[in-house]
Amino acid sequence: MKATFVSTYGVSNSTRLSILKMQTELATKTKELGSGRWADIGLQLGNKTGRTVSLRQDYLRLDSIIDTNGLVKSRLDASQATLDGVRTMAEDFVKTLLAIRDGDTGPAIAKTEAKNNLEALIASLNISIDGQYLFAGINTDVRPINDYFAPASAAKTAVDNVFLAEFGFTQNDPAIENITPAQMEAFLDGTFAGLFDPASWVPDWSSASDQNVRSRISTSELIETSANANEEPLRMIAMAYTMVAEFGSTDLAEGTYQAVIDKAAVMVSNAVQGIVVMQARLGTAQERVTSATERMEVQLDILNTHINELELVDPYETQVRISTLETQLDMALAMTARAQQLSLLNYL
Amino acid sequence: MSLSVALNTAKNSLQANGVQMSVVGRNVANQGVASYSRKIANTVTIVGGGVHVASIGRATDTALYKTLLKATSATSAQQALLEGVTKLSETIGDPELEFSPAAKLGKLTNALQQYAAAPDNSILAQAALGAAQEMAATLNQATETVQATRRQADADMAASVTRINGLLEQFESVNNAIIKGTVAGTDITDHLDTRDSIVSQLSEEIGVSVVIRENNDAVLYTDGGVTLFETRPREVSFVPTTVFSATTVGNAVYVDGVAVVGGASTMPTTTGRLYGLATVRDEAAVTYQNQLDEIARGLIEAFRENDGVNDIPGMFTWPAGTVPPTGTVVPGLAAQIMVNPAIDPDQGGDLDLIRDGITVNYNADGVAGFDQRLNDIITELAQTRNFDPASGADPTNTLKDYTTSSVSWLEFTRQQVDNEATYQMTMYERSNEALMNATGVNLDDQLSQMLDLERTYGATTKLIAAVDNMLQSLLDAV
Repeated sequence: MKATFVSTYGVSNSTRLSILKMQTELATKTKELGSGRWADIGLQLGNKTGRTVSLRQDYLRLDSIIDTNGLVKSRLDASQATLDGVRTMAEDFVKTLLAIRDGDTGPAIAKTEAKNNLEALIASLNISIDGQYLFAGINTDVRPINDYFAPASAAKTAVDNVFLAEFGFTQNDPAIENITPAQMEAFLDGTFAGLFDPASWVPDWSSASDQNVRSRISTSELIETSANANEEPLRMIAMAYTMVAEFGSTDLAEGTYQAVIDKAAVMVSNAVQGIVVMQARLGTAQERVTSATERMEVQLDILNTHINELELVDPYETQVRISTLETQLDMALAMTARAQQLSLLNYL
Repeated sequence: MSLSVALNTAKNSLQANGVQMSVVGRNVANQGVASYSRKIANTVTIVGGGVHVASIGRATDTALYKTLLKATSATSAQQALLEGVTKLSETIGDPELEFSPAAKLGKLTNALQQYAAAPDNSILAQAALGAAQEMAATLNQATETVQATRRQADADMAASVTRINGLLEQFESVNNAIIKGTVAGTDITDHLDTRDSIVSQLSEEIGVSVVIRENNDAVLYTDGGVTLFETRPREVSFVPTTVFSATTVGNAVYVDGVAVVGGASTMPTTTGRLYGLATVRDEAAVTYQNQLDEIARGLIEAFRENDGVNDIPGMFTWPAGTVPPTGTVVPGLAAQIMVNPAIDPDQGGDLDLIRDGITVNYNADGVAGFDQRLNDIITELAQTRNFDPASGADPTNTLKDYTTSSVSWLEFTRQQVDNEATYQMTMYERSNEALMNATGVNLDDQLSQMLDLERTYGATTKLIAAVDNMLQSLLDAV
């Protein structure tokens, strides 16, 4: 028969252990309250830790795509603005052509304007951002359009050669007044037009690649995000400007001159239509980039919320737990001190 | 002559009282020793009415003691396991620090994304190379951590075996003293306490059960049934391994020639620190290493190039220089994976090959804005691929999801072990407390016994004085 027995050492030992435990928990909870996150995320989340790691990667991934979309968007905006300029210039040129068609002073004006426009077109297509040529396709580190007016330029030489081959004299020769409108039209549609076919355009005029830059604008969308200098409308505009600049001379017979001007006017008008199509295509890309970015920004918020749901502690709950622990510890310590007083030793 | 009998009885009483007082003294002196059990003086009445301390006993509770031994073994097993798994989880760290292989993979993907947006930008190529090097280094270091954890567990097993052998030796001498004392009928209670404490210490290292035979002779068995001690200690042997790589297999611990942990065993031990350490060395760390190796293999596979006939390693390669077959772990690959030197300018390589392809030239025109290959790699990284199902993480997944499922696997294991360790620790504390309460010393109890003894002593001396007075009166009358 054994009465209930309590070991003095056992009692003080278990009190000591429980006080230690409470102090450890208090330290952990205080850390959590300070940082707002679980003290040991892996231990707290267990098999959900992979999710928070994964969500964090998704977050950074979207963030990085949004970042590169900024770059893509600036390229698209610049391309769009350049094409705007090219188009406006072309439209003005058509007006000039129509105005001077029958006048006497016309040819000089048109010729100068065509020359200036051609220079401006070349400069526009050679625009670069951050070292990347926008109209070079994927051949981004090479200037896409060669300078037509540079000494011994391949394009200019080719133009001179075909004229010489067709008529037996140069375009600056007074003999050009004998060229009939039919002859001129045949030349313009024939060997001259051939210079602006894709096969001759590169390399005489252009070093650009036909392949447009493609960009990943969201985790799943890979779209074309550039226009390039080899596209038909741009070739046609260059052809029209070259035509007027080289052959729109006052020395031509009136009919022949009008044939040149008419031809140029028709080509520029058609090219303007083509540029509108190019601009529409870039506009679609701009639209997609913008909407992808907006969508991903919404996703970022959602991901952030999920990460927080997993990793953050409820500060109120933690605060309450800390208060409870403090009270418990207070009581445990008071009890220990009181229990020490309760010994037969004090009554002997 | 009954007065002389009374005097004799009083003398006996004083003697018994002295012994009892010394027992109280022992109890009070040892009340702060955890392994000390309360001593009790067993008094008997002798023929003629005298009193005599027949023997010194001690408070015991065999059932509680056995529970404590079990709880001790289970707790130390879980704690050894927890310590090992916690070391493994250092390879992951806090998710916020972006330190894990999963985070490095994310970083690499992002660097490639940036580079794909501007393939002519060599700064971005440099960043992609840096991210790739970090990825490979992270896998190399993780392998080192895992193998260091295994090596540490192996060294701890050796230390544990040394301790067991030492304890068994002590056990032998104490056990012999107990047998002798029992035969001679002397006080063996302190020896019994020592023996119990040795068994408790043994149970920290290996699960142990005690059987008491004639003359208090004890026999020890492991929890798997192998004899640890019978009359003489049995040899516990272990050959430690000093160098660990992913392919190293550690040695088993033998007791009396029978493997108990760390190898194929017919009588396996399933508790105690040895078991916990062997589990870290042979299971947890090995599985995690397999996962790291699979991540490395997945990387080589995702970045591979194809010349139309063969797969050739791309950005990531290893000394063998092949693309290992899919879905099968290559042990130790994570230790050997490296960034292809052909893209590292510091090793005479060319950064542009990240964009153009290393062995296979995807950029036939040699244009600077070539983004096809980079975008293909990013697409390839998002493809589902096969991993070794035996590696414990999700076998059919994208590389990224496989790496994060490896994180989940490890942290889940740690969480479970931690829960189990906490539970076992509580069990241990409760059974220890119960045993202490059953066999420990209560100061108030001892003090009140002391008061009783003091009173008895006083009464006895009074009795002697009274008898003396009576005899004196008798002598005076003569």
